[in-house]
Amino acid sequence: MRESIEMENIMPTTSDVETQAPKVSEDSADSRSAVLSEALGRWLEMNHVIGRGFNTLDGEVDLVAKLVETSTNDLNSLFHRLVENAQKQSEGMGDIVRVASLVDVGGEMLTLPEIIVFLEEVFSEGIMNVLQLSQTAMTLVFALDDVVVDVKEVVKHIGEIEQINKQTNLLALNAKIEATRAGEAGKGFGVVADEVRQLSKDINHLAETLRSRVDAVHSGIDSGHEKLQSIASLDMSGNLKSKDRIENMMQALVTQNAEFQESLSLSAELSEKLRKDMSNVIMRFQFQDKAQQQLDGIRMTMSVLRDAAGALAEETGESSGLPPIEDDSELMEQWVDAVIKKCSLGEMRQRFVQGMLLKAEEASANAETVASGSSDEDDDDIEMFATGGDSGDGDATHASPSDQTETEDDDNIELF
Amino acid sequence: MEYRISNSGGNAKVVFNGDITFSENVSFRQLLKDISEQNFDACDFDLTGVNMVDSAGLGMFLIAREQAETDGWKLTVSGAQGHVASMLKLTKLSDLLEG
Repeated sequence: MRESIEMENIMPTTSDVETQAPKVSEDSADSRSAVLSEALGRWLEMNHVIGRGFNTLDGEVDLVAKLVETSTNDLNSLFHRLVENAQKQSEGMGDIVRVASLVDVGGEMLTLPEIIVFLEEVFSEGIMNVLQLSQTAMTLVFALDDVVVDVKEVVKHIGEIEQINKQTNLLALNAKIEATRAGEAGKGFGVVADEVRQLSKDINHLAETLRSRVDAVHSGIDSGHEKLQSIASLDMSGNLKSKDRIENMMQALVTQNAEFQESLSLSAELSEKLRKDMSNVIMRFQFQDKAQQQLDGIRMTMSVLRDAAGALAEETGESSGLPPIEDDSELMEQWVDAVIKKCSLGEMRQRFVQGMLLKAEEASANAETVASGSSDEDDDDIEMFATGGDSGDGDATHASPSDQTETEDDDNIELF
Repeated sequence: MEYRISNSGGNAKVVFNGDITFSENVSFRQLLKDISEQNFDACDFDLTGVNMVDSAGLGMFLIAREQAETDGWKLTVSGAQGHVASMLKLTKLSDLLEG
């Protein structure tokens, strides 16, 4: 609503035109003819302005098409790089997942559970060795106990030998006494008695030696018994605690590793999903072709309308005998100003100023400069419009804008 | 360590009380002799009343198992709790002896 009000303020209205037109007497044919000539002149001026506008719009459409094409290509390149990077990231994540689950042990790749099983086996083997050692030690203890019984039996037998030897010695002593008492007759018997006593002494000495040796054996057995006790008697509570702690640590490692792998797998999935999404985005960039076709359609439509209006203006000029438009009238400048005021984008407004306030040929040159690479078709269109609007000479006259026109244009630009 | 042997249809049950350590080796050996002399088909060591067992005690269990295999009777253990149960599990004797 506000915009329409502004338009009413900016655009010259029919009533304005009527006010500016000379009053026509109802019954005066000359006055009617003058009014019609005035109206035709304004139509030709309007066509002139519209032609410049179409030229400028043609350049704008061309700019938009190139902007869309360039931006689409840039975005396409960017997304292709993003896809490549996402692919590398996904592959990197996969490598991390694989490496994180394996440990290089001298060239042998082992999983964490395998290492845990191995450590548990080693630990259990150590425990079993301790147990085996204890069993062997206890078997030896039992055997030594049996030896101790035997040794005690030997000691007992040595005591019996000593007792017998003691009695033998007494018997030999008695025999010696009796032999002495018998005199010469008992002399030989006395020698025997002496020998028996000597034997008894030797046996006694041997028994003492045996007792000493057996005591040494007994002492050795006792010593071995103590050593075996130190070997067999091992409080394995420490091992038990160590095993529990190792198991807990290994379990924590396995859990942590599993969580780590899960997170990495999730990240890898997200990277892959990102890559696919970006590939879809690249496919969607095909909209640029359709946009280009639509812009071509717009340009074609504008060209047809511009040609039709130009042909009609040419026909009107020839039939009415009106002089060619040589300079921009005040009304034309108002129309142009109205259009330029509506351009909110400064850059675009500048192009409209150059395209619509200057003569058509200059506008064409500006359009070519701005929309670098304007086609020959554009030039042809401008020439057609120029011919249609009026004679080429007329445009050539307009090609040298008066200082006054320049000043007015500058004022308009500053106003905007 | 104290022990009590009960007979039930050829199957013996030995109820232990106290700790089973190296110092009990004489008593334990006597127990094995008693069991062997009575020609049981099976013997169960009830460890409910045992609070502590060291490696010597576990070694004596293995000797008992060897003797059982030699004499042709079956040895089992039962009622182990706490520290004793943990030790049997640590040495995997629970797998060998628990019925």
